[in-house]
Amino acid sequence: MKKLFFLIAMMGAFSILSVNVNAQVTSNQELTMGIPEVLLINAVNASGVTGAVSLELTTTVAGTAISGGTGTSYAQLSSIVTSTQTRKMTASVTGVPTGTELSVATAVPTNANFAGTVGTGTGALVLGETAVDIATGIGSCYTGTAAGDGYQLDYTWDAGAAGAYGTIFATGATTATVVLTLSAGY
Amino acid sequence: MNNPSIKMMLTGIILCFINHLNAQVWTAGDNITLQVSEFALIETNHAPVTLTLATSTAGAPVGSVSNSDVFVKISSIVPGGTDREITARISSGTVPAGTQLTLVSANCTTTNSGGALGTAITTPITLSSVDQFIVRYIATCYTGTGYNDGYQMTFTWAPLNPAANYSQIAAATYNITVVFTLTAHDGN
Repeated sequence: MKKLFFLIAMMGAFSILSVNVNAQVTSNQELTMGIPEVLLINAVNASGVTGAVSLELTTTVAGTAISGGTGTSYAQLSSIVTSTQTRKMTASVTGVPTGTELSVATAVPTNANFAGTVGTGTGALVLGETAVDIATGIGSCYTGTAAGDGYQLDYTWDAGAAGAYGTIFATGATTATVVLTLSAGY
Repeated sequence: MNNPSIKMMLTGIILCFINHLNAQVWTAGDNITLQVSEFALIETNHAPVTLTLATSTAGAPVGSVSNSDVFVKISSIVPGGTDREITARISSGTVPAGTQLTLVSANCTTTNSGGALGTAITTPITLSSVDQFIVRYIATCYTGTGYNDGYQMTFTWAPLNPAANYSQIAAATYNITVVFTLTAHDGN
């Protein structure tokens, strides 16, 4: 009789173990994905490295004003904005010799290495100590990091207003510093 | 009681009784059904997954980012000759415009597992709202229950064709839920 009870008990145990579970089951996993704002800017010369742009004012024709101080650099930037923002790039300068003017024309990237919304450049603007907008409407974009990538900044240095010509003096190398700023979103 | 005849009679009765006890055999016949039912359980280690797209180089695009902290654990019993799959899909939230989120599973860890653990698909899937296979040919097995037991999942988030779509990328925080499914066996 004890054996019989034991066998019945075992059958009951197996019955409990055979409870069905759903044939298909799932589990959830949460992911938090963030894109912070990005604003990085770097000025490089035509060789793609950080370095000064050399400009020289001179003339070879008697009777003409000095001219010919031109050079090019590139502003490489990375930008991520929110869905409602754009940025702008501004420029200011200090150290321009008396009697002369430094101006810059800005062209947005056109080669194959940029992507995104690079905005709009400007024609030649005279630079001073007060920042001026040289590119606007910049959204999420990057310019590339190779030589020739970025916003092309064509500098022109020449004599300023005719009345100030008498204040120009020959000098050795002097350094003017242009500050490029990529603004916060607005 | 001192009568020898009576003693012999009593002895005879006792012997008969003992013989009777020895002849009694307790038996029971019955069919026993042993059943192991189809069985499927799935769970992740719920590791926090935080992905951030960023760059530190002016002129460079935001780079891709990966996370391999999530492990999927399962227990599975299947009928003979059948198998299951693990699938994944996005159940809530949307992958931000201009980006894509991919997922690939490693084969199951071996430390605490046993059975037919299947084969991970080596090509990453681009996660969407539709279930896609990430592990196939899972039969009867268990993965172990430790935090790093099971199938290691690698999420990779990256810009999608940036030359065309980069301007769509917008700074913000996005929450996404991925649901893993251990399917019914293919004999269902």
